[in-house]
Amino acid sequence: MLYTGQPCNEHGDYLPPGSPPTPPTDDKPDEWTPFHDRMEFETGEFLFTCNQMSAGDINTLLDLWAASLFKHHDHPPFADHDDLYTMIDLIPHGDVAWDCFTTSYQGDKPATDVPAWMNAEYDVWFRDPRTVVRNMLANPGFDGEIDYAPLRDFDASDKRQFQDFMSGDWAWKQAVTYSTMRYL
Amino acid sequence: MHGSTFVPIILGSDKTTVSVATGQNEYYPLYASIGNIHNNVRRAHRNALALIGFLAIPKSKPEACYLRL
Repeated sequence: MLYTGQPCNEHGDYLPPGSPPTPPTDDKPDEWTPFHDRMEFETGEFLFTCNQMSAGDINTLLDLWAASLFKHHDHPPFADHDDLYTMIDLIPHGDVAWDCFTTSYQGDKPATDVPAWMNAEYDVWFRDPRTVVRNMLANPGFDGEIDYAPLRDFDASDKRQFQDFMSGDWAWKQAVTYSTMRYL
Repeated sequence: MHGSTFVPIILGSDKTTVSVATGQNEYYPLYASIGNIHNNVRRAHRNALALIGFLAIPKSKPEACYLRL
């Protein structure tokens, strides 16, 4: 069989039937990266997520906090709201980060009366599709609801059954071609 | 073929008009999903259909469509 969807390791060696997937690596309980400690994380979570405090009020609070710690030669968890926002942006977990590039029309232009859109620059916002797709494939929430190979399903009376994307002709034709038949 | 699987990528876009205080803005969100996920999950699970981009849409007046090259 070809493209059976049988689980294998990263070297292509098939796993014994019923092997559980590698569990996602659990963070250590004392791991607060990028925050330095639990105090920083909980302060950030309270200000940003729970209280949704304005940037100006965050600055005021942190200034007061700094003033109260001054005599102890200590400082608050964040210098100001910029410091807090920078830390939040450094959090490696969660959705794939957004990125942006600028593009413009590259084709021929008329000699006169160039339409404005031909000279304009446009921002395109995007997230790395490869990472998005990898996250989908790695999502344990889809366990049992994913086809790892194209399939042709027939009922008891030999009638073709179409159910999901991978049961269709297009998916089958993409994967089962002359070039892959060599591996049969 | 060992150690590989087929992952069909499904893309879709649909114009979305967003009204904000300053006026109407039109966005062309680009969505992605993968064909491996069963249809019932794609409909039910928000992470099975992901927003991956906003397309740039040049604006032009109708008469500007005629290029004099």
